[in-house]
Amino acid sequence: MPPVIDKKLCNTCGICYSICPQDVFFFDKAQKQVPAVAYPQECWYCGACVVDCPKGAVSLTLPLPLHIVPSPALYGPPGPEEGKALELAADFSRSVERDRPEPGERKAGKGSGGEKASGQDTDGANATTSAHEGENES
Amino acid sequence: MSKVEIQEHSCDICVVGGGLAGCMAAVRAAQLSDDVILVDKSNPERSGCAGTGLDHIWGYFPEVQSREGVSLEQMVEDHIQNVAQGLVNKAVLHYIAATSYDRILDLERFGAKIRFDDSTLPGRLRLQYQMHACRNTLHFEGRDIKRILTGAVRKSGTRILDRVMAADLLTHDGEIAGVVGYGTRDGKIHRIRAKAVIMSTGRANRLYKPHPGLTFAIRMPPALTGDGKAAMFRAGVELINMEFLSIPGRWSSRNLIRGGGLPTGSYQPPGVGVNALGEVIRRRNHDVGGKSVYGTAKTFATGKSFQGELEAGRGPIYADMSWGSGEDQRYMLWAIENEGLGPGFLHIMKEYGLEFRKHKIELWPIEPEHSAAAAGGPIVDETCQTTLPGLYAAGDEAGGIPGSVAPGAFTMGYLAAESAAKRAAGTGAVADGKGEEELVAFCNEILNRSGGNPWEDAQATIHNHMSDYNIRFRSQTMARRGLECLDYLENTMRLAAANPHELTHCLEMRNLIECGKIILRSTIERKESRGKIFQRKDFPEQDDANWFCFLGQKLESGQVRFRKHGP
Repeated sequence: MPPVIDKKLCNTCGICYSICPQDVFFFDKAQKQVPAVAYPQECWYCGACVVDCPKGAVSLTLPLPLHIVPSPALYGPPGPEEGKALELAADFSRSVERDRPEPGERKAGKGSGGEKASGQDTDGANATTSAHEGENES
Repeated sequence: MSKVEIQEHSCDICVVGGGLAGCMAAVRAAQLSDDVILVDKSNPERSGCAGTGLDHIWGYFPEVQSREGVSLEQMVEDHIQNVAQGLVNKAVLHYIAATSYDRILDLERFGAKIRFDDSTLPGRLRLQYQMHACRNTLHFEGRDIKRILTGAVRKSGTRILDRVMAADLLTHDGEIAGVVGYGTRDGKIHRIRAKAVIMSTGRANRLYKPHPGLTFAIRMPPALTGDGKAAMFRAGVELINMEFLSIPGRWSSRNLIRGGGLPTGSYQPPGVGVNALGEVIRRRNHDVGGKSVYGTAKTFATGKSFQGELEAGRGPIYADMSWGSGEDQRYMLWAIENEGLGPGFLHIMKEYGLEFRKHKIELWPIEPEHSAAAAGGPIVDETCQTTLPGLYAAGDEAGGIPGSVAPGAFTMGYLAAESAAKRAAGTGAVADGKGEEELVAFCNEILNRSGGNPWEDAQATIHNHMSDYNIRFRSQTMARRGLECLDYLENTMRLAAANPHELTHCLEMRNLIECGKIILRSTIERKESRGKIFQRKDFPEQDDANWFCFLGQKLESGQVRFRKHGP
């Protein structure tokens, strides 16, 4: 049950106990022991303990009712009828330069309406990898 | 017989609730006064709606909006008509719109990153369209905004009293004299006398059965249980809009994400809402521009709705965020990482092998929320003062400013602090107010009870009653029955607690019941239906002649009184 502290990584600093908005941890500073998850069912899954742990020792596990059952996405540029509208919607969602793809990355978006098949080509795999790097960067 | 210990505190200005509003209030108050206390139920470092982030704030950015030919007045009018449907505190709304950018610049001074080299706009701002018909919502790096703000609070000299839950107000001769709370870890009653008090404890978030079936699996913070609103009502402060309710609260996936990434709250380029056939139902979150006559917005409506697709047998609904370039995907992940609950959601996706390129995320309409669109809380004047002299409210705590959200928190916090500082400067000694008796009695009763009802039973009962009597079949007779049931619960429950953590939950039950009763009473009183936020079976029509107004409810000498206020 959430959160779970890796005892090997924990340095018993007590930050998770200090910041948890739901107060799910028990920690005795004097004892210098790994915090206990005293109220696992009161976790909000906000990720504060994951983000703030200086040792990366905390991870969240989901109780069964909160699992998201995987469902395949429709990866690829949308069809011609939607392409332009989606492109415009994307433009309205940002105000940044958009013509700076990473090396080896397909230039999706531009004129995507007429290039439905191109999203499924090999460049797609590169783009997926890049997206993950983006996650790690942030 | 054990007795709860009382610890005394005294200050000029007490801020209650250390979210965005409370932190900004504390910083400003400490610039104007030497003696400020910030009380928080947990720890302001990660508490409140923005605990794990905030990726967007709307405001008026003169160098961008004026270039696009949109004036401040036009943007405010857009908000009045299209966000608030005319029913809004116009003075405070105007203040929010006019000063939001100033507060954003404060955040930058405190250390938040708000400028980006890839921006195409003046000031290197990343702006996008949210709920107004112009490009007025800043995307920024706000994952640690609460840590940054808490740092500013500490630097300001404010004393932080954390892990204290506000329970009741202290008053003296009909004016504010402080607040009394319960230590969620130390188990003491904290009696904080003050010349002025700012309430910013937010909404009551645990009134309805959560969609995923688990008490704490809700979209907005479960620690927020309407503590401020309940305390103010008991002290005779007039509350408005308490009957308004968003049904559903939003669309989410197991309440693990709030928006800020999904089309249920998405301002991200690759996020679209699709039905089970893969047809695009929403091209982006907000169909901006549909109603407005100014600005550069376009409408992105498809003529279909998520709910309509469910009704038509084409459900479920999904957020499909697989499209767009790698650059689009990176921008989206960046924004999610910076929005509240986002870091947790991305972590969970990684742990469970979910990827936006490969998986769409199922969305469901979640439980009702007394939301930002409802804006229930104390009626405030143009200085954020409530009907109790010396008591101010800011952010989601304050009533009557729908859609004020994050900028409302920052700006009202700032404004309330200035008002409170003026009040404190003009007040002699800190008064010795009264108001702790009920809390002391409540705590002592529970401490001296062996065996009894666990708070979880009371919580489940509140969920049952509010869900049965205040969602689908709202009417006078249903609300009356709801009131009977909450009264019965209040009179019958014998709560027990093994420790301060559990006693805190018992106090939350007291406040949730209080809020539920206020909501049901105002539901009976407002004899009409109004837009999406108030639907009655027995009065299905909107009645502007009689009800285009705020409905106020307050306690006067133990009697509940109603009063109408023009917007």
